[in-house]
Amino acid sequence: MNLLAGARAMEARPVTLADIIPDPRFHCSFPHDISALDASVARRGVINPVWLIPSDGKYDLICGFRRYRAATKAAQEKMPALILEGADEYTLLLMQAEENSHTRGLNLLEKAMLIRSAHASFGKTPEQVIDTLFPAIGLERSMVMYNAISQVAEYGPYTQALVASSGMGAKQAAVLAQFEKEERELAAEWITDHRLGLNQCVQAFEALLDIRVNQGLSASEVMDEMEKAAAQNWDATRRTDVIFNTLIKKSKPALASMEYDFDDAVAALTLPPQVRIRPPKNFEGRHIELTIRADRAESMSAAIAALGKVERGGLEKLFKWI
Amino acid sequence: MSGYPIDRIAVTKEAGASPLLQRAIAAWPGAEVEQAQAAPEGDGLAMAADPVAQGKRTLVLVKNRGRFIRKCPGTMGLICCNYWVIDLVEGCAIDCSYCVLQGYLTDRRIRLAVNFDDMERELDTELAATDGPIRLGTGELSDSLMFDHELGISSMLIAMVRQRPRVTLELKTKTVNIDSILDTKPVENVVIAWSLNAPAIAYGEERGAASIEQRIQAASRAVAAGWKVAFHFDPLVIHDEWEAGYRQTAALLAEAVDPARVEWISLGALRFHPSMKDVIRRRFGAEGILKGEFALCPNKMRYAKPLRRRLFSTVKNALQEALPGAPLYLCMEGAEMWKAVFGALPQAMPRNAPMKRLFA
Ligand code: SF4
Repeated sequence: MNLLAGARAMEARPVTLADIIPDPRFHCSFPHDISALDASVARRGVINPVWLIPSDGKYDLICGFRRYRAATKAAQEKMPALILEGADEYTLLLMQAEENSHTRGLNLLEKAMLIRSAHASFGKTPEQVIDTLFPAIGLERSMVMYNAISQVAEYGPYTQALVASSGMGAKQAAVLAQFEKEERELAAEWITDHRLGLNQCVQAFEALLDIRVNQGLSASEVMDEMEKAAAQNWDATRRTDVIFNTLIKKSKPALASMEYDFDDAVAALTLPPQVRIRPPKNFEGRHIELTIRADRAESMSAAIAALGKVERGGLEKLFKWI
Repeated sequence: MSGYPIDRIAVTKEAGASPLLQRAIAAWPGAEVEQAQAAPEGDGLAMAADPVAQGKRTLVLVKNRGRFIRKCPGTMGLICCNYWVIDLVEGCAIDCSYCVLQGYLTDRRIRLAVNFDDMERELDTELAATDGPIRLGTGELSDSLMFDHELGISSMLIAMVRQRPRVTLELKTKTVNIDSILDTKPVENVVIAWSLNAPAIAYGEERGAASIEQRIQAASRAVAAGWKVAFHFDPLVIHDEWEAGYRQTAALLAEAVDPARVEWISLGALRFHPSMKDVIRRRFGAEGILKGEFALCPNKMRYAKPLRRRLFSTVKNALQEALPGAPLYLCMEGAEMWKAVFGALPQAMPRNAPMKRLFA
């Protein structure tokens, strides 16, 4: 489909920033980091023209919100623009969506905002959105997907920022729908504060949900408890590690209790520090792993000698867990 | 009639001459009949809010160009019960919250292969290549008897195995659709099997299935008519008062069925691919079947090992008390779980152990 059929694009020409009005219906940018763009625009100005439509003697911004923001921040007076005439406005939305999707990729929140805009500002039905916008932004035709993504536009600011900055996909974000708005916001703020990566972020939401479902504790109760698990004077990385691991253990109490018991049994063996004994993952499987970590032959030989003295009964205890 | 609604019957050109088409049209006279493409065409359900539920209302009659019969591949590290699967029907009219089909099939309609002749030929080829017995079932990607009153598929399958005594056919169901089976003389190498569960799970998680009481009553009728029966306590689910729930089902079963007439009872704990979590939450909520402590092992979510051990031991004890001597086995579990629950691996059990022959 030629989205621009019927539209006339003039030559790119400089337009005064003061004459450009960002049209919120077309705004979908939710970048997590535009510092590179800011620096480039500050240094060399905007290179690729933004897209505008004439509006009461001024221009509405259709495509290029991030460039516009960077140019404004760099206090530039003008930026290059293509002035489009004659295309209907929904076509322009599709065009800018496709352009952004191809050039920089859209995050999940941006896709959600586009869906909301198509629906709320252009009166499109879900079916029409799926038929027109979805192919423009690389989504498969699916009402399930429509429902899953569009709800992200209704989330609170912390959750939205987390979705955008973590790079969550629709499948990963599905767990968010299981929380009440307020609880989801609190959790998103907490997870953002702890700077968890994408996988950890999803695991943390999953753990909070499991704890609520299985133990009846709200996310805020759990977060308070987790904060107490790490001393305030620890550095941020250590605190986050401890908090995250404690959270995962809390969500899996049966496995955690097995792990504690197993660790106790290993500790009772009084092994040399070079030796590590680990159960199979999740205690599934039939093998216990023993590793010796040594940087010198003497150290390894000492560890092997020490292992020879370990009581068989103590070792046998370990196997009762698997 | 079974009462499962079908709104649409799609048929490929090659399947158009099958008597099953006429039976389907007669069974669902209000259904639209349309031509389907021979090649996989997608299910056309993209715009449905719940494509899984919607797909259950379309029956597609096709010619199967691939294989019909395959040995259940098992999973590495787990003990295999030597089961063979017939891929005759893909898709199911029942809607269980834990059903693997929700995430497994790209075509969510019910696809029925009509080329029984090819299936029969394939079975003979497999028999020629195999020495031992073959335990064969159609209930892997469907319910074996869901449309039996409408289409009479079981009688075609029974006719197929009647002449092939090395094959044991298992018809696995959550329905009570056994009238047409009971109209025929019992066949030695056919077993009618019911999936059973705690009543609360059957009620809350198996939409469109018969109640536990109804299933057990149907089993009792089958036994009275001389048919062999089996049961699958699968998936065992940890839920509020689950011990009492499974004991109740065991007791109901013991009241209705003589354990000596039970061919086998399998026990399998709830398991699902991690990607199914979202589908289940979306379709059934987060607080139902997903309640519990799960761990990834090795590529499926299962209850954490100590929970599974307790679950199996409790249900096994309940069944052994209620139905002494009935052969029990674990489905999709490793050696360590067998040892923990039964004290030995099936191969190492005494020769007269009831489940022994399944694992020969
Ligand atoms: S009866 Fe079996 S195939 Fe049918 S929905 Fe339930 S689990 Fe799936």
